[in-house]
Formats: sequence, structure tokens, C-alpha cells
Amino acid sequence: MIGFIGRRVAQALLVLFGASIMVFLLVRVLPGDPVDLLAAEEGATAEQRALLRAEMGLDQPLPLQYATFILQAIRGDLGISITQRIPVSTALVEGLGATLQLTIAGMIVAVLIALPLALISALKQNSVWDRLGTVGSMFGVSMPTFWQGIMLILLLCVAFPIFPTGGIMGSSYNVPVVTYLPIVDSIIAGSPDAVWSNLRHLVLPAITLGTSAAAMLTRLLRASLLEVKNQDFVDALRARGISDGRVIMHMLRNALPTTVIVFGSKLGTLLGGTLVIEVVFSWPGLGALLVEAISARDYPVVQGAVLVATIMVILCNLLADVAQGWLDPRVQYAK
Amino acid sequence: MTRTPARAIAVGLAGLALVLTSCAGGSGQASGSVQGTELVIAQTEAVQTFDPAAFRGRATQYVVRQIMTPLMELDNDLQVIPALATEWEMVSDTTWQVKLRDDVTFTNGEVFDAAAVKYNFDRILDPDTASPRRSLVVTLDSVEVVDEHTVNFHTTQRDGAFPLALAYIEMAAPGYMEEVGPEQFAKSPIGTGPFVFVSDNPGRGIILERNEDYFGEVAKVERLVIKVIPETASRIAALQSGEAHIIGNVPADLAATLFGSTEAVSASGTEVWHLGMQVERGQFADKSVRQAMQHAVNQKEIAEAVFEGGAEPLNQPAFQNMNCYNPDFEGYDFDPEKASKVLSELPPVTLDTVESEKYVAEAIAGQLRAAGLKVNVNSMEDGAYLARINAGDSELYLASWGAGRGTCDEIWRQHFHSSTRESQVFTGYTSPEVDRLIDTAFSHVPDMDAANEYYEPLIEMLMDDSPWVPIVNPDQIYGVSTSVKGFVPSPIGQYNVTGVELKE
Repeated sequence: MIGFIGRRVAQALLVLFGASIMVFLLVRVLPGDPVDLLAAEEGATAEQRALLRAEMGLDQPLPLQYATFILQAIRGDLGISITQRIPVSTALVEGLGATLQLTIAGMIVAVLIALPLALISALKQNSVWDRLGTVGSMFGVSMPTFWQGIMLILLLCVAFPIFPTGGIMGSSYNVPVVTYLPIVDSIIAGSPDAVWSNLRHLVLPAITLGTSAAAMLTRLLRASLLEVKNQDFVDALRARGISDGRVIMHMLRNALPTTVIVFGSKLGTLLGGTLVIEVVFSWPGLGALLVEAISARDYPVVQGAVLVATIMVILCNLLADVAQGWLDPRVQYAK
Repeated sequence: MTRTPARAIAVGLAGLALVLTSCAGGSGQASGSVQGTELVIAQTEAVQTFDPAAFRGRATQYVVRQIMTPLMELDNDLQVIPALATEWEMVSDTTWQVKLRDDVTFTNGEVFDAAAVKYNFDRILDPDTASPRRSLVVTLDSVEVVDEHTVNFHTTQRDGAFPLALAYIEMAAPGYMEEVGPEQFAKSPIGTGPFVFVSDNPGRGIILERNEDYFGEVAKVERLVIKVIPETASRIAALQSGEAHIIGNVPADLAATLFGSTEAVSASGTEVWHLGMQVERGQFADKSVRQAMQHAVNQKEIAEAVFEGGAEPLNQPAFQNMNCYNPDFEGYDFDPEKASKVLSELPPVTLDTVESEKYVAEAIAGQLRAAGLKVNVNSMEDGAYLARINAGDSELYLASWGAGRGTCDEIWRQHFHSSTRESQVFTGYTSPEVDRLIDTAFSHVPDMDAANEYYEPLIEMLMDDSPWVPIVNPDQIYGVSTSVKGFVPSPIGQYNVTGVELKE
């Protein structure tokens, strides 16, 4: 087991190294640089542009720029944001907290939707309910998150003003930052009003993220449940006269591990979804930060944000792999 | 610039929102705020920093301006008016003498005086600051304290437009800056503005409170909240749901969707939209082709149809509020038949534009096609587009270039003077005569009668050589809740909110 985990970690580090080179080059392959964009708005002389470039280290050869970036990153220093002039790590930590909170809330919504849907679909296979569930999840998978987000805003903020259109909480709540998770910080600060405000702001983005994840989750869980449903132990349980509810619990217990693992490996896709959702709902997370940084060509922030997102995806995959190896020892030898 | 991933969707949705709000009777009141005390403004971009020497870009300036004041300001006709300074004059070719108010203190009690002014400008001049504001005062050489309320600005050359530049540099409290350092100052600034900084939390907005001791008109609202909502559709929704009272950057084609408890309010803008043509090579190297392009574009129609009347059609590379604008200049007449004799012979060309201005480019392309030109619109991401036109790689492009100070020099020097060709090629157009006219005219500013002796022939020349087809100067459009009274929109996009009241 230890050897298996070691191999996986080594692979993850290799992937991370590759990703770091990729993002470093990709950002620089993009036409236009931060100086062009800074100077576009108010004009700058050639001399000043050269000065700005030198100050950002953009006049150095690429391999040297990369070496500087990677050596600093290993020490935890991701450089200084070009536009905000604060350490990139500071900007990222704030964004990461907001994104994590949104992702977790989105997952909760996804589970709340997917669990009943998958159960009905699997238990009443090929019924009208099953068909409806399948159509619903196809719709969920194919509906653009951007459109869905705007629709929710129009319906539940403008037409029926129930929820706020965006942001993380009301402007009057000045909660001290401890964990970078706004909701946890509000609880620590002992402000039920802030918690409530934060929850109200969380509902719509979480629903938008949750429905797209729920579609995927429903299909996975339905497939696992169908597999479990036809196994001998289910017949045995039923033969012993065990109630339907308990049979279902047993089925879920057997079907969930595979679902969780496969779902974990798809988290990267979901993180991509938060990017759009954060922009629509003005949610100050990693995605919104990245979009802003790309359009300003704020290289250090883009590199840092992509690196952090890569690490998150690799971690999720690693955990999914390890969990799978632990649940099913055959996997360790097969891979 | 606003980026709308799906502009068409936004337009459709805005319409749908109207239907929905009229059904549900949207309130248009800011929720969760006490009416009459808290004004909420939503803008497109985040504030980079509150250090007035460390930012670049208008979105940051709008907010910094609420907390810190410059020496002068620009009024809505782009005329320089006093702020922290009371009067100014050019005492020699390379010296501007500025007299300061003697009754101003920073909100932490520090006295505002000549030493404070020198401190702020020395920071910008100091290479170690690497200030992005440096290029705004490119001719500034040194600042000298004459007495407690008089400052001399020494420039490297004669600069008649220097006071305009001073309207873009805000004054920070020097003692406080020294005490806490620039990094801390950037998070919690102190100035002499109409509002005092309270907090800035991501996702909650920037909160400012009224400065009761402001030297100018004390604000009527107690608090000002600035929210950042990058997505246009979401920003309009925030206005319609009453979460914001004023929103910026409303695209012209969406302005008509604001009615009921919200309205579109506009001020004449400060941008010269134009078609740039690569004069050094390709189809547009031939002057007669460029002149044919002038006849093919109907600026009036663009202003009416695309900007819903919210734009000034341009017949020269300047708008009416610009210091060199020539009201007597005739320009080209719209004559697609004449144009098509030349344009229909050409192979297909590509018109480059940024994504957010594509709808305008498409309308212009339609007019060009009607005049026989085979043209495709290529919309690009901002950074990629800028890199392309800076390198001079675009044969034909639509550009919107701002002249925030209302001077011709700030646009023309960048686009037509040979000194800037190295870093920004644009159309590649230069000529020794144009250089001479730009430089000589500038040397006479602020004496515009003398300067216009040179600007008039320059406009003739630019329009005859035709590196540009001028298009329009669009208005700055804000979305405003009907509960807001006394909001005067600004051509440079600033929030003049001291006179604003909130009414039921």
C-alpha cells in the first residue's frame, strides 16, 4: 500500500512539474503583455514601457524567468501581482477560501438532487420516472452554467427579489478573516446575521454549480446501483424479509464507494464550472481572480491560480486513487 | 472594458427581465440598506490598490477619487477647475506655479500644504516606486516648495497642458504613508476627499463614509458602497433588483432596456472611435482607397442605429469637447456609389475588433459591404487585439481611444507622431509635416487661438491622408435607479456623488 501511494505521489509531482511549464509558457504565448494593457488606457512612452517590462522581469530570457518562478514557488513565494501589487499568495488564499466554500456548497446541492433521482431511476428501471430522470440529467449536463446562472438571477433576484444577485455577503458585515472560509469566519465571529447573509448569497451560485454536478452524479450513482441491485446479497436480504428501506441502505453502502471515486476524479471539470459561475455571481473566488488576471495579463497571478487549481485536481485524483486501492486491493497491482 | 461571454444572451435576457419585473413589479429599492443614507454603485472592474501612485486604469481612479483629491479637477466640459489648488499659471516656459488652499486637512488631522504636494509627486518621480502614474506627468522634472501654500512644478520642456495631468494625480496623507508604509496604505488609505475609507472586503464591496469636514460640498449620503460586478447582465440585474442605485458601463444596445424604476443616464464621452488602416503595406497603402473608405461610412447612421442616438458622429479625429476640434471642418460626404468604384475592386479584407465592440464593427462592416468592399469581422480578446494593432499587423481595425483630458495631443501624439512608432505602430502613418504641426501646436497650448493655427491644417492633413476613418464619440451611459436624485454623469466616468440624494 505504501509503495502504491509513493508511486502515485511521484506521478502527481511529475504532472505538477509538467503543468507548471505548460502554464508558464501558455500565459506568455498569449499575444499581448501586461505592459501593453497597462499602457493602452492612458498611453506610455517607449522608454516607460521598457522600464515597466524590466521592473516585471519580462526582459529576461524565458528559461531564466521560468527558473526564477519555479525556485520561488518551491519556497512558497508566487511573486507579486502586477496589477494589485500584493503578494500573489495573499490574493490566492482569499480566492481559494471563497471557491472552496462554493464548491462544498455545490457538492451538497448535487448530492441532495442526485441521491433521490438515482434511487428512483435505479429501483424503477425503465419506468417513466427513470426516463424523466435520464432526460433531466441530460438537460443538466448540457445546460450552459452561464445561462442557468443568469436565468436564476432574473427569476429569483429581479422578478421575485428573494436572493441577492451576487457577492459573498452584505456590505455591512465586516467579519475578521481567520480561516478564509467566509461562512466559518462568520460563525467564529459569532454573528448569526452574517452567517444568514452569507447563506443567502451562497444559494444561487451553489444551485447553479450543484445542478451541473448533480447531472453527472445521478448517472454515475444510477449505474452503480443497477449493478448492485442484481447481486445475490440483495435477493438474500429481501428473502429474509428485511424492509425496503434497509435494503436500499445496504445497496447504497455498496454502490457509493465507486461513485465517490469516479466523481472525485471528475472534480477538475467541476472546478472549471466554478470559473464561469463566479463571474456571473461576482463571487470573489479563484475563478473570478483568474479571469481578471488573464485579461490583465497579470502573469504571476495566472500562474499561481492555475498552479493551485492543478494541485487541487491532482490531490482529488490522488485521494480517489488511494481510496480505490484501499477498497479494492486488485487495483494496486493492476496499475 | 466589459467582456460579455454571450452578448446576445444578455440582450435577450435583459428584455425578459423587463417582462418579469413588470409582472412582479420590481421595487427598485436597495435591499438591506436604509433609504437616504447608503448609496450603492456597481462598477465593472475591481480596484487594484488604494495607493494613488501605484495604479493604472479608470476603474481604480473612480474609487480612489472619492477618498483622495487631486490639485485640479475636470468639469463636464473637460475644463480644468480648482480642487486642492486655487489658481495656477505658467510663470516660465518650464515652470507652472500652483497656489494651494490653506484650509484643508487630511482626515487623520494632518495639514495639507506644499510639502504634502511635493511628497506625493516625489514618490511618483522616484524610480524605486516604479509608478504607473509617471507617464501621466511625463514632462515633470522636479517639484519645489515655494512657501506653505505655493508649489512650483518644473518641467523638462514647455508643457501647456500640464494642469490637465494634475487632475489625474490624487494626494495621499504623507505622515500616515511614512508611518504605515505603502503596503498598508494601499489597504487603508487616508486623503482629503469627500469620503473616508472604512473597509474593503472581497465580495462585499468597498465601504466609504461621508467626510464631515470635506473642504468642498459635503456629501448628502452618509455611506457610499462600491461593488464590483464584472458581468454586464448581472450588473443590470443588480440595478433592477434594487441592490445597486447606480451602475456604470451600460452598453448602448442595452440602455433601452432600462425603464420603470431604472433609467439610462448619459454624459458625452471622451472616446474617439475610428477605423484604422495600415498605410505602409497591403490594400490601404493607396491613399485613394483610404479616401474611398471615408465615403463608404455613414457615421450618422451608426450613431442613430447602433448607439440609439447616444453618440456624436465624427467627421474629424476629434470630438466637440476636445481642445482642437474644428466646428467649421466639412469632412467627407457619405457617397457609397463613389466609394464602390474603388472598393469593389479590392480583394477581401479583415476588420479586427475587440469582442465587446463587435456589434459596432458588424454595423460598419455592413456599410462597407454596401459600398462594395468584401469584409470579414474578426473579433478578438483585448490583449491579443492590442498586441496586433500595436505591432501594426492589422490592415483594418476598429478602435476606441480615450482622450480623458480632452486634448488632441494625448491621442494624436500616440497615433500619428513618429516618436511613438517604435513601440506602437497602429496604422504606421507618419510624416515630418505632421510631427512638426503636432509639436508646434502643442508648444502654444494653453493658448488655443495660437495652437489652432496649427491644429486646423493638421486636421485637414489627417483627413486628406486618411489613416483613420473617424466614426463616433459614444456617450458614457450609466444605469440609475429612479430613487437617485441629483446625479450628474461625468464624461470621464467619475462618480460625482456629493450632490446625490436618495428619495423614495
